[in-house]
Amino acid sequence: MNKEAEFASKICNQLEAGMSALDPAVLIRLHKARRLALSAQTVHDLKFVGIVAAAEQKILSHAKTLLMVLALSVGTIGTYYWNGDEQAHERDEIDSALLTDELPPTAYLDLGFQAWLKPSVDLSSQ
Amino acid sequence: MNPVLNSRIDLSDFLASIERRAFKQAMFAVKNREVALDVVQDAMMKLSEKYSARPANEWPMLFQRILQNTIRDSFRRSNVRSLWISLFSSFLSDNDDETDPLDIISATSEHKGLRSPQQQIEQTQLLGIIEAEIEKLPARQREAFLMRYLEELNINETALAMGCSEGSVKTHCSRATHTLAVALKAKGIAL
Repeated sequence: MNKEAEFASKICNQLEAGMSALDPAVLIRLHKARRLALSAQTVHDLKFVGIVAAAEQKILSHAKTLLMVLALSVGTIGTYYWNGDEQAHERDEIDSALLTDELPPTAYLDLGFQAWLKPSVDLSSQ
Repeated sequence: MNPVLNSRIDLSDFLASIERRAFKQAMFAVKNREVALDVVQDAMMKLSEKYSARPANEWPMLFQRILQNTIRDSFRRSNVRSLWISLFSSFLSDNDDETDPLDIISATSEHKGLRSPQQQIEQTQLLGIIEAEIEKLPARQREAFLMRYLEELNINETALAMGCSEGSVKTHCSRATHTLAVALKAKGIAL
């Protein structure tokens, strides 16, 4: 221990000795302060535990509903994407049929074009 | 065991272990017993409400930081209060600060049964001189000195609690110790 720490330690020993003889009124007040602080901690912790417990109970009581809503959401989203894929696939087929065909562009203005295109797409797919 | 109960016991032990020293620190700073007790109570409440969930080994540093902030808040409040009191000072008496030295001697005598009355008086006087010299230290030096040597925080913890660098802590401690040594030597006291 260096000189500074040694001297400081001696001073603190004197202070500690003085603290062992504090006025009883001060000690009572300090004890009361400690009790108040601990009761504040208890209230805080109990509040936290209570909130967690209440949240758990609410979540469990609504678990069935939540599962159903979740399944419905998954189904709806799945259907939406599946339909999107189907439509895109159909458009691809139409586009490729148009591009590979040797018809003149005026043929595309023909009202019966769709009627002609469908069977030709069916044939190309076979 | 219930963790809440465990934590409560730990906190109770911690507060019991630091309450006297915290009171002394507050007394050195605010120089008023009732205000010092209020400061310690506020600091304990804040630690308990906001930081009791933190690891127990962080409590000493956190408590010191809270205590110093609470002391500063108390100074601010008293400044505002003294402004109003000064307006009505003529209505107040000056007898409140009078304390009987015999009260202090009678309080200490209960715990020092083995010492002679002469030794008890000398001890009380020595303590009074040391405390007076600690009170005279600049606030930051006193904080650093008490945290390092009375609370036995390490330099890093003291720096965190004081919100300054480790170098500053060393400087404050060194200056405080030097000032105390010179002051006590001037009074013919050798520890």
